[in-house]
Amino acid sequence: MLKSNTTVRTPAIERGKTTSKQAGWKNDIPLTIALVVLALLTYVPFVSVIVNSFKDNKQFFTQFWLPTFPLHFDNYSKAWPIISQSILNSVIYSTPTVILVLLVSGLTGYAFARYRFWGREVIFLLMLILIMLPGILLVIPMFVEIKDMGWINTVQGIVFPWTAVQIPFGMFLMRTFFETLPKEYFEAARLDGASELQLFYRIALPLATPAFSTLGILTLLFTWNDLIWPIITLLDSTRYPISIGVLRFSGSFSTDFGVTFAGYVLASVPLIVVFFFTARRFMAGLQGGLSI
Amino acid sequence: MKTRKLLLALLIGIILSSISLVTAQDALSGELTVYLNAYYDPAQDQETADLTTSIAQKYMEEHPGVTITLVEALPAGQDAEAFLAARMAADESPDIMWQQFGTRNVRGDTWWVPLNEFLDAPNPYIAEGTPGHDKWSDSLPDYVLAQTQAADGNWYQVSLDWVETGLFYNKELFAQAEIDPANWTSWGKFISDMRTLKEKTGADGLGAYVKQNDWSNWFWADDLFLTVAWADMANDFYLEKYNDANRPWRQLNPEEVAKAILDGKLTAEDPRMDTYLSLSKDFVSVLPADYNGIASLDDLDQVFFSGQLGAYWTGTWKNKLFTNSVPFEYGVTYIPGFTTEDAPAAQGTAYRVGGPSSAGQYGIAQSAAREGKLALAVDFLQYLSAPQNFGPMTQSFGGFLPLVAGTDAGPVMSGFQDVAELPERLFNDPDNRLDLAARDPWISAMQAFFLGEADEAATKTTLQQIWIEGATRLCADQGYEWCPA
Amino acid sequence: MATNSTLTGSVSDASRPRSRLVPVYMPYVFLLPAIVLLLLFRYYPAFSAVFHSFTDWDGTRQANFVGLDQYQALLKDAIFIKSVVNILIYTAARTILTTVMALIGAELVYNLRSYVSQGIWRIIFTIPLVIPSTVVFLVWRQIYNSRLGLLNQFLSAIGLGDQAQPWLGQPNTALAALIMVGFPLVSGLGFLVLLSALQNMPTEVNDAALIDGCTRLRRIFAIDLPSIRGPLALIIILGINAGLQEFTPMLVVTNGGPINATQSPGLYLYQQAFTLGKFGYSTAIGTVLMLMTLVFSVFILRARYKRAHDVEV
Repeated sequence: MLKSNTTVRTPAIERGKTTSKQAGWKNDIPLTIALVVLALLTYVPFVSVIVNSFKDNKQFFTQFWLPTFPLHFDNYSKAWPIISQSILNSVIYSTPTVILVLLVSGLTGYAFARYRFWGREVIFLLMLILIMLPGILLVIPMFVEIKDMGWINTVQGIVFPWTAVQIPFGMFLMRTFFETLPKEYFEAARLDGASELQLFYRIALPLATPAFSTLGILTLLFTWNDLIWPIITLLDSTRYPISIGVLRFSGSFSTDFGVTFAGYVLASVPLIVVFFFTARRFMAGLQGGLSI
Repeated sequence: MKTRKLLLALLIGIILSSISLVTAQDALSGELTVYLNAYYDPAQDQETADLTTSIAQKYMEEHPGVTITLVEALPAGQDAEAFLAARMAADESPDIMWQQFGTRNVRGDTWWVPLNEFLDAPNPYIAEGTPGHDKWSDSLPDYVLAQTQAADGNWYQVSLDWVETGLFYNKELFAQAEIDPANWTSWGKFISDMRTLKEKTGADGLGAYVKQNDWSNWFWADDLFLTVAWADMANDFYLEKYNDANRPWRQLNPEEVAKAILDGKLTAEDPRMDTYLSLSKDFVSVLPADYNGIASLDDLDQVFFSGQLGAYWTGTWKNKLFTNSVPFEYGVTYIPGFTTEDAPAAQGTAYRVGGPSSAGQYGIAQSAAREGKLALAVDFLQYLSAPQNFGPMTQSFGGFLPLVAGTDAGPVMSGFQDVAELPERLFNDPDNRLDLAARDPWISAMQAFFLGEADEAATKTTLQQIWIEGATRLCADQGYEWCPA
Repeated sequence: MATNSTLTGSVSDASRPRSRLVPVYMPYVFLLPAIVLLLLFRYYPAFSAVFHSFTDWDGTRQANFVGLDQYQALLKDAIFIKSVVNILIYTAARTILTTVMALIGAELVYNLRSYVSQGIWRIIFTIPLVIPSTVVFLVWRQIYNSRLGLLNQFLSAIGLGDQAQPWLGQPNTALAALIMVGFPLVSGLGFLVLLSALQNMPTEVNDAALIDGCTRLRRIFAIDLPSIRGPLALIIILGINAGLQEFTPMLVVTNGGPINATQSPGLYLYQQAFTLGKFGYSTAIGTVLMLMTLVFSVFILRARYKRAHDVEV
């Protein structure tokens, strides 16, 4: 966890180059071929979802892998009303979760990184250990607890448990990041009379944008996909997030596969959009290095 | 004088009407949440959902002060049992709720209100002259009531519809292999025809699968084979308390199975079980190669549609889908009768596996009773199960046979009426024969046999062990009078 | 003005003179929100679950204390033991597989000539993260289908038709099939973390190695791996942690079968709780699972820190 700030060697990233500079293009060919093969294999699920989203049941059952014609664009119009509502719900659940996770992880990681205090490593370890808890074990006790608090079928009943799940990893990430900040920044401000809290949100927070992007995206992915908790706490199907929304087209007695897949495609679009806008920051956040 | 009498009459009239008004309002006001499974699933079947909504709407109009909220059916892949377990743990179950009668009866009055007293009473929504008017249970067939009764004698639900099974078969493949269901005079002939189909067309004969720790349509076959093996002992197993003059042949109640096991009459070491095992082995020999790895019945749809499966054992609920989407000509038939060639105890007939395991199984949650909504819930349930309401719902959904007297199955179900008239199986599914806990070990034991990991002798020993343990467990849970101390 | 105070700054400069005094409670104030949230929504349910493992709770009513009965039953339960064996095999194989594939992917990209192409490939392998795992399972079920599946069709096409088998329908191939789900397993957090770690390596050491005539392969083993030990250990721990708890693939693809060949403790817990209503038993399973995860993580952490002093690069 100790990333020394005293390195004088410049990492490859900052110099914009890597080591095979003298070998030329030729060296890249075998690498690229291997990468292309891996990428093709990786994209098979992706492509098959898209291909299948244009099929009706008859086409789907007779041919899974290849596209069939005519293309049924109406699958998308059938899926849209339900998916759009689910996407809206997911946004309502995910946004406060991400904000809370970033804030709390930031505060906590900062405290561990910049202060020495009694019990620091013990508390850190106790929090980190929570990652080992099997989620499925906690579902019933947590459900009874949420019900006692009157939070069944509410937004906060989803947001707070989700936040709690992400915090251990989040604060670990933020601690790693904050340890890389030179203390000179803080010393100067402290000498100018800033309070501790001001140090946090004036200096630490703005600098933490890359790490926040990474943590934010990871949290978003988690909330977008989590299925077990919402289906247990939410009673109204109108409040279901997207992870359940995509399943609405699969009934116990018949499934409209084409529409289901169209639903999956629509469900991925918001994520792709978010990725598109934050990709660079997301990568930058990992640049500082994630390690134990 | 006259005015006084008039005033008195008026007073009495006012008192009487206000009493009835008050009592009427007491019984029927409040909010009710209702889960109807397939009959309210807007994402899957908008038409039926709309119909159900309008039926609920009419009820609300007749009973101002009542709000009925329909809860959407769970998406597939979502475990209804998990959903219910969580809801019940928090007293948040819908007031009227669906559950399979097998698992519902296990939960019993911990979760559900016994409906016996209501079933004995009149159903105000059933018209005079129609069964059910004087006694609600008259509107439902006896054999259904018998099958869905819990081991403690209570009914925790009303079973309003019926699901039947059949073999949907690919007429083109059958023609290619030159086989015809009309020639199936015995089980043996059926199996050899399935093998012929595979030889001549390359397609697999029969669509079925075995799934660990879960239902699979192999359960149906399993029930049939046990029935055929033990058909001649049925009368020995029957207990007087379950007998019904109208139904000399009926399914065994778990208590009867448990008693037969503990008395030593029903034992897996009996030579009859050799018949059972060999029939089972024949069965799996005509299934697709990955029958142990198929995750759900619907996965076989693909194989059937792409012309790689000769016959597909599935249920009436597929009817709509097949009618609309199958790319070839198909027909509906069934397993042929078992003759003494197939099994010494055979009675020359096949057995149906259809049953009331369908969408129309509704019970009332204890939480509703605790909140004082019992009268309202019962009333709405009576309303819903009246033929003029439930009938149209089943016709619209088109996947189940309605059980309520006075309803009509509709044209879609025609092929299944023959099947529905076959005698029922003696043994219920592995999860309902004795108790739920006996299911998974039974599946594992049979799978080990099918995959060659256990031979006949070892399998019989294991099955006997499962039976003894299950019977003992049932005795401990239910405390029947005849149970050994 | 003698107030309690605490040092500020990172631990490495403990020797520096004390700077301005900061109230000692300050860090705890920062920690408060996390502590409250975690206590409420993680610790409390966890303790409740462990507590109930000593009872015969059925999820709704009675919770009578039964001491260690549930644990004793666990030790005698052949299915539970099989599930533990399965999950150990699964976790080991899966962790190795995902780590190696992530490493291969990261090294392939890292060794490209220009940083621009590295960036492009990084994006190419990040986009698939948006696919929900349920879709991946569905597609892989299709791949393994014995008649219509891609795998068997592919084998027939390249002449290995006799190798085509019902992958998910046999106890000896089912677990291996599950382990391979998601192949090539390059796209993921591991790839991104390792790639960044590699790119963070100072180039001087690598240049020196090249001048000395070191081949690329040798360089990978001699230089790269040691310098990314930290991130590598992190990926491995996260992988082990996730692997031990895994139950969704088992649930969706095989339901634990055939004959418990793919049964996992997480799935067994789920079935015991929600199908059979034996919550006391299932919380015992969960507690044992938790302890197993703890033990393995501690093990890895100790191995990682045994020579901690040479990690700084």
